[in-house]
Amino acid sequence: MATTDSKTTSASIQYLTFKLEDEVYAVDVAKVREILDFPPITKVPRTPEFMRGVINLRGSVVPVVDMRLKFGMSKTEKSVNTCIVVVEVQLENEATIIGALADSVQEVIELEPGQIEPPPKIGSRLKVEFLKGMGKIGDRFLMILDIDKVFTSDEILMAQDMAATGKQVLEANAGA
Amino acid sequence: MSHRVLIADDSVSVRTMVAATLRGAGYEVVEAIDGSDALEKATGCPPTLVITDLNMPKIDGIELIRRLRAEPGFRATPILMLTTESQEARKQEGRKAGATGWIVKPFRPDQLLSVIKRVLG
Amino acid sequence: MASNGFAGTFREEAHELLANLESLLLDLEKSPRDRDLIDQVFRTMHTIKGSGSMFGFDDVVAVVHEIETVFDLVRAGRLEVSADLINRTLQARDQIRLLIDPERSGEAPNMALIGQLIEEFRAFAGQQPPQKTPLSATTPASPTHPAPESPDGSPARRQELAVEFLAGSVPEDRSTQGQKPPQVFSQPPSIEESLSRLPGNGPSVAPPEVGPPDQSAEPKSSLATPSSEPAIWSIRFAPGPELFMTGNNPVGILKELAGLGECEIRPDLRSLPALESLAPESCHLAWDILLRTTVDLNGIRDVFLFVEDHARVEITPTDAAFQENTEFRNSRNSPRNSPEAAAAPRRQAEGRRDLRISAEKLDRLVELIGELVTVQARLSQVAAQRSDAELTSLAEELDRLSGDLRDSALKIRMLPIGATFEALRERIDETARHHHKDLRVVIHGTDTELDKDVIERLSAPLGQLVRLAVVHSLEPRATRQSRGKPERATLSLTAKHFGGNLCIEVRDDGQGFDPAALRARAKELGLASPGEDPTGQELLRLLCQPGFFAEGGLGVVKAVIDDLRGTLEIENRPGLGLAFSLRLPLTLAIIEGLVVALGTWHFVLPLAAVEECIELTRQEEARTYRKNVVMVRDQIVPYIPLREKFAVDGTPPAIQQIVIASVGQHRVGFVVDQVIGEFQTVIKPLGNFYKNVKGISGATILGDGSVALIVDLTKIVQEENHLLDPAQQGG
Repeated sequence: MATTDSKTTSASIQYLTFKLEDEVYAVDVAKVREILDFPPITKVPRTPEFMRGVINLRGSVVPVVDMRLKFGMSKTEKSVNTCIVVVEVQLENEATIIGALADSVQEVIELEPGQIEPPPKIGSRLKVEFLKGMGKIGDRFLMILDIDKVFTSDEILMAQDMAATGKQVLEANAGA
Repeated sequence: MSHRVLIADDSVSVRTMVAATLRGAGYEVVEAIDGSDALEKATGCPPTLVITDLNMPKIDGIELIRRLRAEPGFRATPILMLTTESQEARKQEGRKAGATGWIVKPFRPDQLLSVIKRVLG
Repeated sequence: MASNGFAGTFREEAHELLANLESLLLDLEKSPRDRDLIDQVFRTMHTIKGSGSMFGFDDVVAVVHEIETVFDLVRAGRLEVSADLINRTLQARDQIRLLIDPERSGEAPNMALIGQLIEEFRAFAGQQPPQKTPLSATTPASPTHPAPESPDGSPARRQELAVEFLAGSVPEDRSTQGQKPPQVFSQPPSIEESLSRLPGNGPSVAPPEVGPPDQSAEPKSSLATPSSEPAIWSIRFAPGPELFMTGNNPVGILKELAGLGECEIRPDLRSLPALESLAPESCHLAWDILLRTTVDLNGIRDVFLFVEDHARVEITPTDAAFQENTEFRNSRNSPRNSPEAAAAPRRQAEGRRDLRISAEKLDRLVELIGELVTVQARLSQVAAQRSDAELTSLAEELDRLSGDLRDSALKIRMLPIGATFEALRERIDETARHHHKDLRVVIHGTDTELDKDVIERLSAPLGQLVRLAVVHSLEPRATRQSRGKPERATLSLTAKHFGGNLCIEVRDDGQGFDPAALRARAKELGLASPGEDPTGQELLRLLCQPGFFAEGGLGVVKAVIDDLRGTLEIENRPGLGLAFSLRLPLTLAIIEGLVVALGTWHFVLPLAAVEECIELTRQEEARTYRKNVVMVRDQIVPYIPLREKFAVDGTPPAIQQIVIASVGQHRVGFVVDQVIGEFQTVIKPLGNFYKNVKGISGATILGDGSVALIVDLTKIVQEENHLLDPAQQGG
């Protein structure tokens, strides 16, 4: 059920929707800095595969995460629609810029609180804590991400320790 | 960085003196007894500096300068002429042919070395 | 004297030439118009004259000069070969032989005859029509030239004077010859006398010092005649684009100028075109030079003698004091003033108008500039792709500006090192008291500035260096006395900027390290024995070994310096003292890197650590299979294949490169596919997201806009410590 029925339409929030495989995800536009075409990515050695590497964003070095790998799907392949959603997240209480690799960006939509349902307890391949809720437009559902939690450092740190100790075969520079 | 200097002079005494001075100063020296010998030795193993007398049998100094300058590998090679004071016209001819500079006989070893330093940098 | 040998050679040569001359002349008598014979006679005379003058045969030269002059006229078709001429020449030839080597001939030359022959040859030369005077017709007359007795100096110039003098005055002498028989030979004079009175001859015209080579009497500095008072000259040297094609080298000219006195040289880059339109064989530079010298105007002009036709050379005296060169003509035009020069007036005007700026604001500024630099790099690339010279030139201008901006911004973070040195002085005094050493501390370069962060991290390692010097190098007072040294030792701390780096030197006049004691200590610790007298990096590695010194070794120092991407060097002069030199980047925000390739990846290794690069072939790799060591100059150096460390896919090339680096107390090789080149760039942090990645210390943006990762050599080596130590000790 919607959390607060008392809220008016003025409390509606804009979301950017994007696709991973054929699932549609949404992220609060307030978190989105910009959207980039697929740039050359430099892989950082000894990191898990979902951490695709770093890109040059106007002189700053920005990490890129493969959302499909992160969510347990296959690795994102480059296509004409592949793009990077640059988001600003809180990582260890510090604003950090991260690029999220998506198959395609759909649109910006506005959802009223009434259109959002709490995330299902089961039945999703995502960890529930990554989700803020399920948006519903007509008969379509989209998964609204809690982007700060997606990039929680704990998980990343864990992954790094694993990478540092374990033997992991990495792809070569993913620049192509 | 060792420089290879080609000295062309039909006078054995001057040639020997120049060669000995240069060798003493650490340069590698190739001696040629006239212009055509010089041309042969220059193209065989290109020197970084050419010193030539002007009056030589077969190919004289001016012609040697002209022919060397026509070679792509010698377009910017320093070429010094050994002249005498009565050879002002020949000296001008040599400059037109592309000589870098000149030393007027008689000269002392230190004078020779100072002029060489000027063109070799 | 060295020329004795050459004189002998000349005698031989002349004998041969004169022997040949006889038959030439006899042939010429039969066919007096044979051009080839005439040429050969002329050339013989010319060679004897030229060579003779070189080895002090002035009397020979005097005679031969006259004959040469006559045959030059013959050669030019202005004079006919006559039986008389042939006879006189043969006569002269015999006398020349006697002049050259009277002992060999057992006969003295007939001086009267020689005098007479000279007159006769002059008479031959005088037969030609006066209007056809060849010398004056073909050489520019310069009648009002300085007298030859005050020659100015450098060889070419001096001889230039001789030429001009000859050109101007010899024909005059000759024209008076007819009416005025010379009194020179009215009574038999000595050869010296007669020659010294001969007018118009080369040797008498030339200043005495040009005569026989006499190295002992002639100091080298005499090449330029000093005047009493040094003067300051402002020189503009603007070569034409064709300069290189004449074989001339502006560097040699500038060096020669610098040798004349105190010299300040500034390049003028204004005519430098965009790389695109730059013709590499053309000279695009000009120079402005301030020269303080005792050499006079002619002496300075001499330096430019060969390039007079190919350069604009302006030499003007200046009254400005040499030190106050703030109004140096080109400084405002110079596209890139040195930061030091720009900083100087600022420092003066500084007073106490300091401003407190938060570090965050500064960091943001530097960050923005970093972005600017990157955009600029892309602009340059676009400009190059479009082959648009104007755009390229704008991009280059922007490149310079953003570079300057970056330097200026980084300078805001700079602090003088003085306070650190003063704090150090206190610690030195304390240590010295404790160890009963008597010393004075001398500090230089307290104004030298460097990055605040670097300064903060330097104080501990500097303290350690100073402690090692006081404890181990400085002798007690009594020992110094017995060694004849001043009782009080001196320890100097010097800071200076050099080549874009900060150099700090800690030097003392103590006893340094005794090589025997070093070897003994190494043995005690079970380390591989160092060489007879370990120096340089070998010594440094030894001193860095843990436990080498009771008071903590050099290892910690080296670690901090490495971390700051600096270098540490040691100079040990047993009995005379010790010197440590540190070289540090002025800022941590910029890295001097070596770009290397691994597969399609590019990495940057800190250049400060890199010693050299060598090749690693498959055969060599196989030979030391699984040992991963190479011999570098008789030393076993372990290497780490970065491909394995970074799990790079694919197979390495047949020939890989090993980058040999000095890391901590180790000398280690890092195997890469290829070394691309050196590169200076702003360091970008990898950020929180990648902060725990081991072996990578940051990132940087390459010229093509792609990101390259900076390898943390120290971390990589730490991981391999178990491999390195045995290898190191085995070495």
